[in-house]
Amino acid sequence: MSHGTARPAPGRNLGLDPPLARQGLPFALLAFALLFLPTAQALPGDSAQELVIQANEAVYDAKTGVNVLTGQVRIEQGSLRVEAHRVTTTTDADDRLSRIVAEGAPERPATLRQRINPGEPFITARAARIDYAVTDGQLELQGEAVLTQGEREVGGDVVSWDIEEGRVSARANQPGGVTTKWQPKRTATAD
Amino acid sequence: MRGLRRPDPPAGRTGRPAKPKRPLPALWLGIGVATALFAVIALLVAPGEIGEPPLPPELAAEPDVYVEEGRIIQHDAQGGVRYRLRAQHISHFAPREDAAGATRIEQLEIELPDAVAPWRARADRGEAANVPGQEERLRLAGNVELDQERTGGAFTRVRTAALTLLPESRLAKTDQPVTILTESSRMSASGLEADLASGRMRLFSSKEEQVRVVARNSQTSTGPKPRP
Repeated sequence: MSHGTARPAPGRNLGLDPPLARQGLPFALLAFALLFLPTAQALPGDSAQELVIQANEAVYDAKTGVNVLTGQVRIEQGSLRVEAHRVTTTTDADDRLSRIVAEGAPERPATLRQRINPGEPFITARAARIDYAVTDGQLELQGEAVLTQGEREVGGDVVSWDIEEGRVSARANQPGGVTTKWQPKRTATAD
Repeated sequence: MRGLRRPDPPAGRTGRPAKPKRPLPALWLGIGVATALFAVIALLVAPGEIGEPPLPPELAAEPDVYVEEGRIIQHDAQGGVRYRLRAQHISHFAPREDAAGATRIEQLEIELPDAVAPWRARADRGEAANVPGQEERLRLAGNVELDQERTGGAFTRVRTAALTLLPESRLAKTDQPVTILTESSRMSASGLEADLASGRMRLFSSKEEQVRVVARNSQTSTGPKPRP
């Protein structure tokens, strides 16, 4: 598998080589699932790292535990990086950080990057809104969403990523709105 | 021809006309006594203005009231407690021509009642500015702590070097570096404005320091679970 090519926008003619197939699904709201990350596992120690959020400004509600951070917000935890214009964090009944919602600015989507396995390329995501249910390990990208790992890419109006199961699904509000790219592994040929 | 003329005053024994009557000496005496009484009362009521010489310059900056181990409870217009204050030393300085009055407090603890749980502030020093027509402002400095302990173990702890507290409007603010500890996170910023009644806190950044939040439970709650 080759790495490092630019990520095309979903829904466009990609103009890629034959091994890269583009599939437009014919029905709106049609969901599909694929084992996008068959061996999904965070880098060793990622979840053991402290989660740090930096921002220009924050409004914290002491009664609800909700924290709204704005202006060049950056989240880091091990190999995880999230950048957004606005981030809202929520705590659960046990006062644990339970949800992170990252929102981009106009013309500047929120982005996420995380290395799942050592030696593999980063998984990157971009969308108008990234909703991360921390305790459930569920991540949902909303609004011109694209999830990429190396040459593999899934795009749609909504892309859901079950981090624990390594399963990705996408859906679109109009026919052909879901795009996938897949480059199979090349097999060596003997002359 | 004789015209009308004023009748002559009655003749005295000597035959001369009698002099007009003078005010009675008792009236003068009464006025004198009243004036003296007023002066005495004025001296008793306002000894500093009338009866005492001005303070020497070296004492002009001294407090006119000094309290040790003092407690103050201030009430609002409805009779509710606005705040309770305890302090090791309280010094009151009367307004002067060249300076407004002020109350300086050392080693203080102030409690602000709240519907959820009281807010408590502690500081090494405090000063209450007595500006007529303005809401009272308490400027706290030195190891300032502002805490709220809620039921169920939830808490908010603010730490900074200086903080301005407005007890009536329940506002607190600082432009100094500040740290906020909660049950789920540790936050730091270069300034803060807090509405204690609603529990909302706005944290600011500066060129030198961004707002920073560290999730306290991040070691157990984020990221995919390792596979066997």
